[in-house]
Amino acid sequence: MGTSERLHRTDAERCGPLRHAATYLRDPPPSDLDQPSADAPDGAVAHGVRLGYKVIEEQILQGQQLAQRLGKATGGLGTTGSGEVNVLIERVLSLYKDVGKLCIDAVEAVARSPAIRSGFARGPEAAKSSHEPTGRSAAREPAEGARFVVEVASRRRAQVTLDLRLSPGLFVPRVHALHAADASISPLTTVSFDLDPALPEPMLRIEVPDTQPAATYTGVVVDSGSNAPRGTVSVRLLP
Amino acid sequence: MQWPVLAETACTPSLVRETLAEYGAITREAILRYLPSGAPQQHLYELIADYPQRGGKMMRSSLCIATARAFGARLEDAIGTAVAIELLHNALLIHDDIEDGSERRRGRPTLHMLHGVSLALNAGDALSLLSLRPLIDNIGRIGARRALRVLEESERMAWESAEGQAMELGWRRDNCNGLSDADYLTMVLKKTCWLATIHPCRVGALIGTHDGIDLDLFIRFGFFLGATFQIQDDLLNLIADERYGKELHGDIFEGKRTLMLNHAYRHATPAQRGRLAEILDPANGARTDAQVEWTRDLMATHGSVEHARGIAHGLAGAALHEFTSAFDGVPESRDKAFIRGLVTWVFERT
Repeated sequence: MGTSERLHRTDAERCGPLRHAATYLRDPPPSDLDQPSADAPDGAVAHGVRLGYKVIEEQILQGQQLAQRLGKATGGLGTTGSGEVNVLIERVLSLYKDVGKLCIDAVEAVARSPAIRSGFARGPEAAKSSHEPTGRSAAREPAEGARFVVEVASRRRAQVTLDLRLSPGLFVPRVHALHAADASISPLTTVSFDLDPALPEPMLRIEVPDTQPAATYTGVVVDSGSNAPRGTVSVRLLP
Repeated sequence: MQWPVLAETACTPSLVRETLAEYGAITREAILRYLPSGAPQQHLYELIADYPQRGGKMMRSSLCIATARAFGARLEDAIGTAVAIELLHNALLIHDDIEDGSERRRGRPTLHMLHGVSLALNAGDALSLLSLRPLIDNIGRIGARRALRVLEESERMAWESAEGQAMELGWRRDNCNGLSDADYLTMVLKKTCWLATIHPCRVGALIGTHDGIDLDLFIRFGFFLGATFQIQDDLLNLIADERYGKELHGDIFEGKRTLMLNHAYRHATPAQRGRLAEILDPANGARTDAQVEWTRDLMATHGSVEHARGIAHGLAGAALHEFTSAFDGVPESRDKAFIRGLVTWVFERT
């Protein structure tokens, strides 16, 4: 092999260390992340995933930061405010916080359903008798019949949702234990409807033990006569 | 009923098509009940009814219904919200077509091409207003609290969409070039993903769980699914046949900053960049066929289509991964299989 045929490496760009202060820190990766590997089809796949997560995590972080500034407990509101609707939501939430025993959905559910209202008013004989003498049965005076109370005994904030289906007949409601999605969490068992005639309105009572973990607990409301499902009760315990 | 994972994967294409057809028909029928029938028909209500009756994919409304049902809601609980989503989507399409100067939509001339910009703009405004009605009617269907939460979510989605549209229109007006892939994905997150995928999932889950779930999970899944959908839509604009329903290469004619265009610009020589910037400059008027052809060739030269396709495949994988998180613990069902199947369906549609 002649000298001219020998293979030669190209000369290195440098043959000593760079001792300039500016080289102590490595350059950050280009913001575009458009590295050479991204040009190969396989590289583009990884590039897309990496970039996608970078974009979406930044967006979610921005949303959470804004939500924290607005005093929200969760990051669900995101990067854009929602003005008056948020104010309304805040009012509803403060109502839960301050009163602690009122369920807007329950009031609204009864208000929507004359059948259910009459069911509560007339279901148990005692309740019927307590309403009829005053002439304020729900069927005749919906505004009065719409009154309904949810009582929650809890040391922590709780949101209660009572969702009753429209039903053709009258029924006396009964609720079984409320379960969390996580089967290892013990259910809420101290949940009951109170149709005591001494009470001015029918009442849903919920007692939350202090040790009950934060979660959403849901159970079925049934017709106590037939055990047919009539709706759901959901209790969301906030951390 | 238990749905074996392998069986779901195998039947995904037909399952997705069937579910889209079923939920789409239900939503379309409900939409018809909201379309006003009084006067002025010729100048307003006929225009409002046009796009909803052209038969889109109905992916947004179907995703909303399927998510709600996967989480245990009844169909009737979600239908109003699904209708609102489709009505707003069609309203935005009318305005988008005007803003983009598009000529065809769902295989027919765009509304402003048929009736002029003024009447089309007004019809878009009216359709936006109409989308509020089912959200108000939600109070009677799902209760005041959930209805208010859905309304709040809808407001956020509308803001995100407007911001994304502003980003894209601003880039075109100001002739912004050399945009990064991250810039594009941020724009798509807002412009496309919120309305197309994130919002339908979020409100569906909200309705199904009585607002009892962390909705951020659906931002991630919806983003990856929606971005895959948009990139595939951009790719179809370059390579699709007549079934596509829009003008071929329309995005280049309109100067849209797609992944492919941005990639081609970044990898072009200085001379090529100069020419491309000149072509894209709105001050130079409408693009010619020759200019569009040259731009298409530039993308081919630099492998821009393959680059975008690779990113779409990566995002689809991430969507499947995020699906498992967002729907963890949700019982297997036809609706859940449909939502998962959308990820691969994106690549099969025309």
